[in-house]
Amino acid sequence: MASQVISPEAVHHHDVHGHDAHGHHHESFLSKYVFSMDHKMIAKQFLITGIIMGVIGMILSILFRIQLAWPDKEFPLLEVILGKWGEGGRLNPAFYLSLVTIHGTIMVFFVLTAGLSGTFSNLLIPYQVGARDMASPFMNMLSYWFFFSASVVMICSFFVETGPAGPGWTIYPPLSALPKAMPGSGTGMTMWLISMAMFIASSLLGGINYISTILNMRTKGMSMTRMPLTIWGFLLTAILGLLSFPVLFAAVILLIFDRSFGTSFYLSDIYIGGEALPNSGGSPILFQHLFWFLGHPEVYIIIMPALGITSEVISTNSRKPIFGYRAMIGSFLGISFLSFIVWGHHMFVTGMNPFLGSVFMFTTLIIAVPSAVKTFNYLATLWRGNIQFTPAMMFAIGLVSFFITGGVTGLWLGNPSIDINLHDTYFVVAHFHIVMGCSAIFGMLAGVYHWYPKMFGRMMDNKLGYLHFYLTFISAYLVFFPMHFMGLDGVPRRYYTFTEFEMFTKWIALNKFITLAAILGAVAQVLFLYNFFVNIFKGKRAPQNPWHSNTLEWTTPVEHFHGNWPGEIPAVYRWPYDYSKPGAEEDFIPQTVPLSETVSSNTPHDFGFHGDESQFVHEYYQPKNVSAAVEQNAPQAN
Amino acid sequence: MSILKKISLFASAAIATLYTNVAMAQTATAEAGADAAKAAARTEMWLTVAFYILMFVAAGFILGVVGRALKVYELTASATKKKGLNWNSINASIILVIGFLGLYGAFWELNAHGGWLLPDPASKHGVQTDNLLHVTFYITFTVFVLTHCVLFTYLFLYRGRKNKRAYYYPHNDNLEKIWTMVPAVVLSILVFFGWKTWTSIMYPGDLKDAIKVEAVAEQFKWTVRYAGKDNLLGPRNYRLIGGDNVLGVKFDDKTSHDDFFPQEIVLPVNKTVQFQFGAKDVIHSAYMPHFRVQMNCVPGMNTYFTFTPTITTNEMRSKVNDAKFDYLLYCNKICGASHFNMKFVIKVVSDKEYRAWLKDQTPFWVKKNEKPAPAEAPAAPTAVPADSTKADSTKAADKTLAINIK
Ligand code: HEM
Ligand SMILES: [Cu+2]
Ligand SMILES: [Cu+2]
Repeated sequence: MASQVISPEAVHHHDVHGHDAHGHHHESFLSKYVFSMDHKMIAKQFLITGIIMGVIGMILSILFRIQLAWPDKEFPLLEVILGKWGEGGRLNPAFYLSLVTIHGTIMVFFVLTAGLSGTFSNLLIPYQVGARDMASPFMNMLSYWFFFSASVVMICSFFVETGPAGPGWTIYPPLSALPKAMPGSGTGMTMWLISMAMFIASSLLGGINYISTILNMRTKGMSMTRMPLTIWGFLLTAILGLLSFPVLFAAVILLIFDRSFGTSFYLSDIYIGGEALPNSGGSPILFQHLFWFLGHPEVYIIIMPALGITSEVISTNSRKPIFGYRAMIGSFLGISFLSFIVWGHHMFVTGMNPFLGSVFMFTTLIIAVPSAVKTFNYLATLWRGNIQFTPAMMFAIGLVSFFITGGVTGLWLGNPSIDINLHDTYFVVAHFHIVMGCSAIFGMLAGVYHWYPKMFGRMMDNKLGYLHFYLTFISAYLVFFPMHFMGLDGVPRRYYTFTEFEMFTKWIALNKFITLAAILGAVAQVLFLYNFFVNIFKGKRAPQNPWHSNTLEWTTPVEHFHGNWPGEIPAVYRWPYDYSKPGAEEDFIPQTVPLSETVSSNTPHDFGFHGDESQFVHEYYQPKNVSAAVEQNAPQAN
Repeated sequence: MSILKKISLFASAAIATLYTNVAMAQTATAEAGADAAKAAARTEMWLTVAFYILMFVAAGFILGVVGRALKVYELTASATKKKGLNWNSINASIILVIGFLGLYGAFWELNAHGGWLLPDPASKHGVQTDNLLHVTFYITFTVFVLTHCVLFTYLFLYRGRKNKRAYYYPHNDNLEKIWTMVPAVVLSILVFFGWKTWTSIMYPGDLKDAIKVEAVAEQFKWTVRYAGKDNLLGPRNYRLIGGDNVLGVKFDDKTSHDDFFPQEIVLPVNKTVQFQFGAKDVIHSAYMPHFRVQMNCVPGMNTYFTFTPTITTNEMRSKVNDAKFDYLLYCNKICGASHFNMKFVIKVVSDKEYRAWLKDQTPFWVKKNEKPAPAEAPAAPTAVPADSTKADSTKAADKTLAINIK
């Protein structure tokens, strides 16, 4: 059965009716679109839910940016929209914190974890390793529906009396444990915890699937070192999630116990609301250790799929092999390992033993080495390329830029003596929005533009894509770059207003500027939404392989089949990066082309031979005039 | 697919809805009659909303027209076999321009805002911290600028062209080794100096002579306590909090008898001070950025930070050319609705002024025992915490709640 999803034919072109697989067995609307177990459909469900959550998160951010820009002004519209939370046209301070909290939670978990990994792991893992579906399609479906329920609960928390959770996305107790401490620690917080528990279940179900599919279901010839870097990114991301999310789950459960059943895991010696609480012996710092044991790997859970996607997109569109494929895998492995032993850098000033601070400083700064290798390898991939500026490529380039800009400020914060003064200021806000927010979102958008034809069988509009890129790139820098300076002046994050401090009045104008830039950025996303949703129905029909790419997914028919390939799953004969290989007819050789068909471009390397090339003999190898070729291709530099 | 048609359709629909909205708002006010000013404000609000939506629609419209024009141009170009627009070149050029403008912007902002940052560190260790920060800045800013120059230049130089092939260059182990080793070495240097600085700040050595000050945070204020003549802070127990014993100090312990609670922190210049931090309800963070000091205040445990102020408030005032300048302690960990409004003034003065100020401070325990008739005095110390708890705690509760509801 052709489960071409939002079936273009059915809607429009009655003349095209070419699917052989029609009518094997019938799927109901429910099993096809709702409780689908097809990885492609689930990917689209994740993506569209992620986009909707992203739009909600963005609107929340505009609301609190307005407060920061015009703290003294009344906006009657706010009261119309928000009711009691915008009484008199002014944002309520407690609600401000709720907005910040839900914005952070949605963006970090719902958009950049589920929306990114959920979409592209689901879409690309079976496609790119050559499998008919995930190892367990049923668990895959559950994974989406847990995610969906988590989203619904999170959004519903806006409609409870005390408002949504408010203690920040990091929900440090005791603030989050004591409903007396703020309205946002009431019912809204309970809903946050329930939502996150479901979210974690979703992540684990997905992750187990991704790992087992990659390890067990690769097609013939797809060795680990022939996998595209996207798959490496997804694999390590899933492993990271599997090892770290359960720790957050434990933290959340203990917090639920402290909140509802009178335990004292995180509580001790508290006097609040005029009474001394009976809890004793707990430690609020324990929560932070548990949280950041997930939290730091989490930021790499967010960035690694984006880096994988970028590797793929940059290589394809530079028409060059990714530079240093093995080093890219190595740096992924290095980042993954190190990301588990750096969490303490979020806790330098909690009163943690200073010796631990030294250890975490060491591991934190070392993690910058594999990150730097990645950056340099991207630049080397661009060098002497034949760069095709597709929207996907432009967003991938944006990722590289943001990854550099945000990465270098990590070196400031990773140094505890410097972090003493920068912790919890706008400098941190700038750092993580640039390196995580912008860079991962750009990676995600690169993925959307690149694989849209695969997902929907139609093309997005390139020119709208360009404009979307420019506006987003510029406004993101305008928003986040100046925040470094505020942070260096000691301006704290999570402040409702800065009017109480004489020393901050000088930043008022800048705050306005940032808000305007943020609004520009938000409006620019309308271009994307239009481009995305309209072209699902109206876009130009996609060709089989629009970007002349080597990977397996482009060998599947444009129409979606449950099972991906109508016949046998193709075998793989080479790595995925044979772009612009000398001697080849075209500037790309898909992974499915056997070496016997490319005699003129084969090199001894392709046969696993690394010695003296003149010694190499093989029936599919045509000796080339090595010295001439080397001279001709020698880098101009050196 | 006609973007144009879609947009104009959307535009007319939007305008129509708006008109009815505005109209409805007006009729509603006419009927109600009361509170005309408020109604007028409402109308004005909706008009503003309408204005922005119109702007948005107009922008969409213009965009649609431009898109149309581009499409027509490309169609005719391909029909007449002329070269159409070369988007690779266009995009490469735009990125080059934006990129270098952006780098210029970064330098511009360094100039413009670089001068607005915190003044010179007012503490001994702060000088070291800032040195490290400057070194890190120079290293990372250089990396930032160079890598971006390379990025934008490559994008332009190697933009896609027809009939061109990229250079097949899958790896170069030596290059990769170099750019693994160089960052590793640079980072090791940063780690080394970072570690030196960090340990020297965190292990300040002998603290016998350091002035002991405690700052305890609660929603949403600070209570500060000096250790007094014996330079020992009396112990606290949160169950004793209540009445005027706001910190739950154990007044049956002699070391607490000379502790006093000033309204601002006064510190002598060039004398080491050891701060002890605590919190009553949730986590707060004591942030004194001018001294490059920050430490979380955590309920259930004490945290410490030791430093030596080196610039008096008066000197700093003339340095930053602001007669109203004050050093501040403020909260830097989200702690509730009024987190944004938790500050406390710190004064750094000469040794002489400090001594004079000390003379004016009366320990809490002494005050407590002076106020009531002398006859009652002996009973007071132990009675105070226990008895007054009930009476005043409700008042305290009201206060906290009131702030919360705001
Ligand atoms: C070069 C490597 C990096 C280093 C050395 C680094 C270092 C740090 C440090 C020390 C902090 C804590 C700052 C503070 O709270 O005072 C921090 C915060 C943060 N970093 Fe990074 N970072 C790096 C890369 C990344 C990446 C790649 C991401 C995400 C993709 C990321 C996301 C975050 C987030 C989300 C926070 C803030 C969490 C919060 O407090 O809300 N960082 N980083
Ligand atoms: Cu981290
Ligand atoms: Cu606070």
